[in-house]
Amino acid sequence: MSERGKLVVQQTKGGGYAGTIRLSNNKSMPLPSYYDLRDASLNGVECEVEREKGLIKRVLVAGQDLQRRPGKGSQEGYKDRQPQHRQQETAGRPPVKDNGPHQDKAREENRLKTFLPRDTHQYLPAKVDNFGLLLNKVAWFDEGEDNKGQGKGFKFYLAGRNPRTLVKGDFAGIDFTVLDRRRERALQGTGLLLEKLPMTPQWRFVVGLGQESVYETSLTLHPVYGFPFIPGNAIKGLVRNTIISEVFAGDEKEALADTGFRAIFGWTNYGTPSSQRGLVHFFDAYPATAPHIVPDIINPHYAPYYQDASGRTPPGDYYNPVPVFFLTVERTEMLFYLGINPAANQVITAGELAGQDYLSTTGKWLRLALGEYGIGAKTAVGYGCFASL
Amino acid sequence: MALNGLEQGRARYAYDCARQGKDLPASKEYKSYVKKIPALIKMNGLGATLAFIAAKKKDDPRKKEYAYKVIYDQLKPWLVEKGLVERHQDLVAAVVALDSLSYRMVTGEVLALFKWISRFAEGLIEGEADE
Repeated sequence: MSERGKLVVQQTKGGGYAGTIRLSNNKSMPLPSYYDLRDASLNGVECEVEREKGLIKRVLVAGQDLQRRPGKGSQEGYKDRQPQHRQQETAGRPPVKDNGPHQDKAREENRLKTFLPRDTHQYLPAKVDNFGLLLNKVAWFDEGEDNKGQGKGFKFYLAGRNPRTLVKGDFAGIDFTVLDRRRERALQGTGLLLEKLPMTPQWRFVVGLGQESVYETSLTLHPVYGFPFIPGNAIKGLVRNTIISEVFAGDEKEALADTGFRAIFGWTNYGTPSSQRGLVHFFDAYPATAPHIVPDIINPHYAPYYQDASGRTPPGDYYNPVPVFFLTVERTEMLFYLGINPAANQVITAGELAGQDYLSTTGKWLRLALGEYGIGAKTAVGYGCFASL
Repeated sequence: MALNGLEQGRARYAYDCARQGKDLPASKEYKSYVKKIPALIKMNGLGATLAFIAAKKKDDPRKKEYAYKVIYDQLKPWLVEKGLVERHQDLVAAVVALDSLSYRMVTGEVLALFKWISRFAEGLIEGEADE
């Protein structure tokens, strides 16, 4: 969205030129200092201004971009759009003089830094398309509001008076329908008999919450595409564990003695030829549509009580809550695939799982596991529960 | 011998680091932190990892996070000795000032060193941090 305005150029004490933009609504904004004003010739000239979140993004004079300072231009242009880097703290920042949200925002962005190597930072695009790279590789560090180190750390979400998400999950560049079509075709090309289970979480799920990350919480993202997905090994583990709990009363030894169970998941009889691999393949579950990434919060109220191993600290209401943010995936349909060699897909005849063939049995249990046990972290409080469509 | 020499040099330095970590009151934290640093580097990159450690470390030896300070202080002399970082520079500032080629070299060196430190810490320090 562009606005019309007028440039006001004045000579500064140092002999240079500083610009101000007078917008049509009679508001004035200082022209960012990375614009190259060599003289006062542009004084009074009509211009078009594009702004985002109040900050000037682009200034056009007679349909052309206003000249930026050579050399540093690209970096400073980037700086204008994104929070600051440690190395270029002082140069080129657009001065913000008006009070209110602008000033808050400027102060806020002053506190934010990334830690990329110099050239990577220099050529960083204004918008990083891949959510995985944006979140994990261009992590924002917040210097904190005061010098006491309060609120210091890596953040994807800024709490406080004007809460805001620093890293938005934008998957507009990925065509999930085409991706799945290609994937299904590739899986079919392996000659496996497939079962496809589209499942939607009843609320939210978070897989990989405990992975190491500078944010202290994490979310498993696809290493190439950067969208959240559920790794096949997590799915296999869930189904296996569900069957052990439901059919074998939690006794893994008993489950491993069952032929049907062994055939589906495989088993190791350490070093002997009787070991076998599982017949059923558990593939990663990808989103069927652009996933909704939602920040969520764990808010322990009695941190000193939990941290005191000696047990002498009471869980008093006078402690401050400690918000810990984490990312979840909400209401996003996920596509689960199971596969089996068609020749091996026989009806289970013996043991506790007898009745149907391997693939249908596994599919049935996967549906039950996702619906009743849930996958990922915090299933006890309702995360990770899927209802089948 | 030359290649062996590189790894041996890292191993020797790493052993001294792990010995120092063993004698800390927060030795268990030392062990758990050195084991998680390579994972952090792979997830968020060296710069962010060092900034994370720099923000977490505490100067009070009774605090758990003193272990982060020890790790941070152990890392720099090694990189200085290898000629990858200048002695007078702040470690985080030095790393983000690198171009990406050198940055990858330093990352590789840090990962190689931590492979040894975590091995020795695993062997020398008993018990797990309760977190």
